[in-house]
Amino acid sequence: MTTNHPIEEKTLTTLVKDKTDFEAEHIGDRVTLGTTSGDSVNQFLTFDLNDQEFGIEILQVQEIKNFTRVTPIPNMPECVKGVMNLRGTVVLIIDLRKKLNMSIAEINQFTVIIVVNVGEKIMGLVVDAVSDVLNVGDADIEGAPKLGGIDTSFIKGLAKSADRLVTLLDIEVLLSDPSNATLGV
Amino acid sequence: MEIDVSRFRAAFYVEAAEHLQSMEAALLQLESAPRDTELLNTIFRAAHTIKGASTTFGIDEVGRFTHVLENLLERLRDGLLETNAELIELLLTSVDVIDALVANAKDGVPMPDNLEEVLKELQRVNGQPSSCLSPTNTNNGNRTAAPTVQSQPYRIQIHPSREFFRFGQDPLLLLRELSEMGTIVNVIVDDSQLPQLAELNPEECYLSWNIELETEAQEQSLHDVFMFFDDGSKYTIEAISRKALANAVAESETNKSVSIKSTATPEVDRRVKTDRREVVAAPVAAASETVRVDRLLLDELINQIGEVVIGASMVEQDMLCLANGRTLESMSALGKIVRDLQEMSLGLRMVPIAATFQKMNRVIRDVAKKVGKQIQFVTEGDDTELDKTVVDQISDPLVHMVRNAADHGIETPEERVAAGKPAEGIVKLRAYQQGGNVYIELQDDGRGLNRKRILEKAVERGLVTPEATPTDSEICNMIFLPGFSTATEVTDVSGRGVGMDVVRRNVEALQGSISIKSIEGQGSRLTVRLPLTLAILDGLLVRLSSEIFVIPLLSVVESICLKPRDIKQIIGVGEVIKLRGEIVPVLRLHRALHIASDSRIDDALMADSGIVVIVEDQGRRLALKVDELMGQQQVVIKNLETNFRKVPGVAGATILGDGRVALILDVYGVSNLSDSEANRLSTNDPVHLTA
Repeated sequence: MTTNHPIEEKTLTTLVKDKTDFEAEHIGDRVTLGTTSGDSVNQFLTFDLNDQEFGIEILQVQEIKNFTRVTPIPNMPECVKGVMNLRGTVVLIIDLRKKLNMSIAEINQFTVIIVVNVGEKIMGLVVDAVSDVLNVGDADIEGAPKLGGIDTSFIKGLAKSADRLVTLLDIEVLLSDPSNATLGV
Repeated sequence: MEIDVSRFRAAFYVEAAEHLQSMEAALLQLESAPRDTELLNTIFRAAHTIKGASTTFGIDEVGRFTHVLENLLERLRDGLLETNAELIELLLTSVDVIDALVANAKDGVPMPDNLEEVLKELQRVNGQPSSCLSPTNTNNGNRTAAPTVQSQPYRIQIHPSREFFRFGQDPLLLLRELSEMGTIVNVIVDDSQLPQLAELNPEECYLSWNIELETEAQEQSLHDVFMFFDDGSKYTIEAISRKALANAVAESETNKSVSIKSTATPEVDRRVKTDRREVVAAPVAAASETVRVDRLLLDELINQIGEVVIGASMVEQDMLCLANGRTLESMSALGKIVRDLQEMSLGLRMVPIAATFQKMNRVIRDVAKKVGKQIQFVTEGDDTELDKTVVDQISDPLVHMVRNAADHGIETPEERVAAGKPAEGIVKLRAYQQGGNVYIELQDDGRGLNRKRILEKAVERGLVTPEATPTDSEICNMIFLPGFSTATEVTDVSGRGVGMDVVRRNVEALQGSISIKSIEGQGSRLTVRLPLTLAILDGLLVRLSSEIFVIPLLSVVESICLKPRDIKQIIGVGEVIKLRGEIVPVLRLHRALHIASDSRIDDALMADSGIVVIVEDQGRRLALKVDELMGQQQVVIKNLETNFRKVPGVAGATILGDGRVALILDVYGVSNLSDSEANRLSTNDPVHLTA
């Protein structure tokens, strides 16, 4: 089993251990969806939002943190939760539910912050819970559905397996495109 | 030996700037002490170093120009030329030209357009035919100048140390330089120390040289060639008679094949015993005990130490509930060490303001010359230290202020004499530290501000109403208003109407402030107050509901506890309080920042009592209503833009002792928030997270 992704195995394990609905050993068997030879394998960190599964490219993930107190910034759109102290760096925290126009969820023991690198910047994304690391071959990623008039540029694609459909987000587009006003941000 | 010199170039640029600075300083001193040989030596050394280094790094334009300059300086030092105002002017211009040439090599800015002109002028003063100075000649090591009557043969022995190359030296450059000074009659290479090829370390120097040189130059200038010898390297210079020279030549002619191919050791040994002056190279130009460190690295270190401080205080707070006496004691000891460490780290960024002051010397001189005034420039407190960033950024505003003082402040000699003052005006720049601030005062004994004209101008520009009766100090401070210039005619030097307003903006950007005091007919005094550092801010911590905000202490005037009904409603203005007769608008920070009010306190009571912090921004006062004052604290400023963007009303963030983030209010921005508060639909605004 290769472990060449930037999250320390320990971090993820510790984190998942806290979760009652997830057994630690699941970390070992990463879900691999029909990787055919010659296909490059993409790794995504998957997480839940409003009972939907989403994934972001694992190379953009810096670390995963428990939800801690966030200092709100005045006069900001609702999806900007505020800033927090990440070992001396002031990091912006985005409520991903709000960013995707979902209702705000209550913060519970599973709520975590995924710290990501977007360009040069570090941001934290509040999600309901993280699930696992998904290995997907190129063949199993479908392009974002074209829905007339609706901007789906922030969706990288859909990764599917028998019982799962994971929406792969392009956080660069989602969080940094200034013209992306359709999301209410 | 081909090595990549590009990374050394950066160091060269820094050093060249320093050398140019010391040249300029020495030149300016030379004006008042034209016979000071030490000054001349300083200038010469600087020019020589720049020449040597620029040639090494292949910046030939600089090398070529400096070479010409050096020739002139040499004659000056040897007493063949007299220093006069004209010459110093020329030399100062040359410094500017070198500066521009270096900038050209560094950033590709266009070549100075007066290059050829200055070069010609230098050559004219030098009395040298310009043909000697073409680039082909300076690079031509085998130039054979006919020895003239005064030429004197010298025997020069060069024994470089093994580490010669490591000090960035190159024997070839030395030989070249010597050959340019006269005719090399004879060269003998001593390769007796050369090991077998297998044992040879290509980075060590095994050779030494015996040179017979015939030159018109003084012996001193020969010594100058070896100015940068390391301690291990030795050289001797001996004046020899023409006969000895002829013998030596003959001797080497007969042994020619030998002397080049192999040993000359016995001969060298013999010669060393003769009564010559042996010179051990002086240590490289009074090496001061400093280390060059990358600025970013330094900033990072200071940042990290700031984190240590926060980390330590977090631990301290956590320990409080479970620790025993001993732990607490060690904790507080650790805390003290950490704070000392932080203080020291902040000291690392501190540099004296002397270099900036020195720049002003030149500015004054140039302005005085241009407008025909006599000005004496005095500085005081040159060694006052300031944060490097502050020093760098205060330079431009200072230039402007100093120019103004020289151009507008000081009168012409005739006017001064008529007013019963000495013909020579005095401009004094003074720096001193007081509390957490550094003050820079610029004082002149000129004509002072003309109140009447300022007021007229202000009315004319619509800055004040004609009926207004501003106080004396208010009038004086009007010069800081945008679009204000009192100079009746726009001169080349100043008076474009962007003057003091820009100065004030720059100073305020450094979290400083500026004020002026002036007595008509007697002079003015501008005082600039600057923070010691930009990394740390004195803040007043205030609470709004459950959030803590930091208000920069600089802008805080006072805090008052309001009694019920102190806040009055004025239609069209909003809420105000009356503070010792002055009407001050009230800004409820809860509202401006959209923070839910503290529900524990009765709203009706909240509405018109509580604490207000009076802040002042650009002469405008504002009462900020807060829930509670939490205390005063130095905070490390964190930029919000690093990971986000600029937020209106927020100057930055900081991390408090307990690890949480608190926002630093931008008083100016907050007061603007209040202006646009009414038509602001904050949550529905399209706000973008630009990366």
